[in-house]
Amino acid sequence: MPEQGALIQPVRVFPWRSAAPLLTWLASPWVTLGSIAATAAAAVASVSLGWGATWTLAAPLTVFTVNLAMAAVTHPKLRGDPVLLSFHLALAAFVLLAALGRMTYLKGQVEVTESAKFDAAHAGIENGPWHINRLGETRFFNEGMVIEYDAQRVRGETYNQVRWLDDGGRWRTTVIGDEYPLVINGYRFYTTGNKGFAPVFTWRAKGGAPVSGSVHLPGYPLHEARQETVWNPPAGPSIHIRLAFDEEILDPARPSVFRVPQRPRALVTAEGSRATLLPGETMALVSGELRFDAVSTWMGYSISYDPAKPWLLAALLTATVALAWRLASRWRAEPWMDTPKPEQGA
Amino acid sequence: MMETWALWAALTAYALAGSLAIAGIWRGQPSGRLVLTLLSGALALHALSLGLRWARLGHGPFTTMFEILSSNIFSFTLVYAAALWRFPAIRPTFALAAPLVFLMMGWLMVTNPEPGVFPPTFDTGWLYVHIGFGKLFMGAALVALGVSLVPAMRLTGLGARAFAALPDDTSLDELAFRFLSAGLVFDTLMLAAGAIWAQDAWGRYWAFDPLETWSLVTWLLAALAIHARITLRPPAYAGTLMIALVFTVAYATFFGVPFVTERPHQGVV
Repeated sequence: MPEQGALIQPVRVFPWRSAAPLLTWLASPWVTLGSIAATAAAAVASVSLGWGATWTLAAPLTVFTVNLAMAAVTHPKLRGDPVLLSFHLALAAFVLLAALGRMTYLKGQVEVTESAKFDAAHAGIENGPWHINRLGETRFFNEGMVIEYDAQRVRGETYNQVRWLDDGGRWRTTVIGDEYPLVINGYRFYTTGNKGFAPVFTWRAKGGAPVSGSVHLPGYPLHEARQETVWNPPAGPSIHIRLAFDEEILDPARPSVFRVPQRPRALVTAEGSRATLLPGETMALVSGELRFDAVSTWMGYSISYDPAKPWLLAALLTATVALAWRLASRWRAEPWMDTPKPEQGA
Repeated sequence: MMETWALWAALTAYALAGSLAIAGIWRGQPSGRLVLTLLSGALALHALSLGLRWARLGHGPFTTMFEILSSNIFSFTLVYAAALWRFPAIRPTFALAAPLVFLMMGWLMVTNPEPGVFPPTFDTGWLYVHIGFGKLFMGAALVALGVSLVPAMRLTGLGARAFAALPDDTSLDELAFRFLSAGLVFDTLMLAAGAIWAQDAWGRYWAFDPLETWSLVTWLLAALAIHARITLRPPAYAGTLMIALVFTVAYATFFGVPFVTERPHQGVV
């Protein structure tokens, strides 16, 4: 059986005691000032030198958060003032939530043809390392759009009808826009100014089954003069497609609405042959035949996901309310100007 | 036409009020009440001009440098006039803020007054919340600067004579930091409202674009200055330097980035 002294011994060397000076130093106002100054310097460096903001700010914000937490633990004045304590803890929570947001976020963009289903495989995305990707479970159809333009081709409101599958397995229809997203599984889909024409073709390889495809041309009207691209149908040749039309889609002189051209022509080049096709016309090639069916549209969506966002806002508002409350209380209690003392005998 | 006349009359009244404030300090006879009366008249005329332009264009003064300058001359002066009304003891300090107002008026007069494009993303109530808190922040920071400059000016013989009638340096330092602290609250609310707006307008609440990053730097410097004053208790002239730094960065952020890019958050509206 060990002696009593042997049991007490580990308590004497408990790391807390030796760490106490470090904790006190970490809680000091100098570390607060240093970490705030370092965060400001890191932000300037990120914008002026092009460094990634997340990783540039990570170190000073970590020190700042540790400093806030240590100050809350060790400073009697902070512990004894619930409002001031709330302010500091809310600030620390804000930084931690921002870090959590960076670890779990997803952002991306995708183009979806009118009447077609969203396909996560076609989305360009970037995400934090802890993001659990459920984008593939997201189901919606782009059912067409109305985009208003003012004179001078100033883009106005966008109304995009989408049909989507909710959590209960029911299909629902919603109109979304630049400021009204479609939210499924926490993913927010916003319409963007990026949209354009999508000529629809059917390719039939010799001896093969017909394959239809919509070809997304560069955004309109941003790339108005460059309405062309190359399409590679399955088991088919490389086909250069240019969309031509004579009408004015968006009249700069008056308000208008984005629409498909009424008399489109597809200028097609493939396997050394060239042809101008109207809707419904077919071009014979060595390896098969190509039919120009119609012109549709595509919409570019931005995708964002950040589960920390509402909590970030809550932490920020808590910190702000606590700060305002603390300042107002102090200002009510203490006048800013020293009141002159009454003269003797007054 | 009335809109232009009202603007010119307002600018003239601002110029008179500022000149009177500076002359009062120079002569050692501040005329605070008259300055405040002139400022009130100028603000009424300016409000009329801004209102007429708003009615004509169908949107507020948010899109071009002309509109941003005009509305900020109005908001700077409005917040300062409110401070002068609430704290009569600091009325002579308007002489120290007036040169900045003159500078903005000169800039306004050489700026193209043609209307700009009102993007669809601006068609939201968050625009007013965001910009409103931003203007309150800048106004409060300008008052903090004006008040805090007095202790520094008093280090010179002219300043000591000119501002002899004002409260002592410690009191002015305290009041200046109270305005900066109130400004920090408004700045925080401006950033929160801006983030909510950006989420709906552009699908992200924060992207470290130049304006957002410099807004963050401004917030950090204001927090740094307030925390340094609370914990280190520096002398009043050091407070002047800190507030001057915060205001300079805030001003450069507010006007520098839109000036360089011609439009706030250019490229994502």
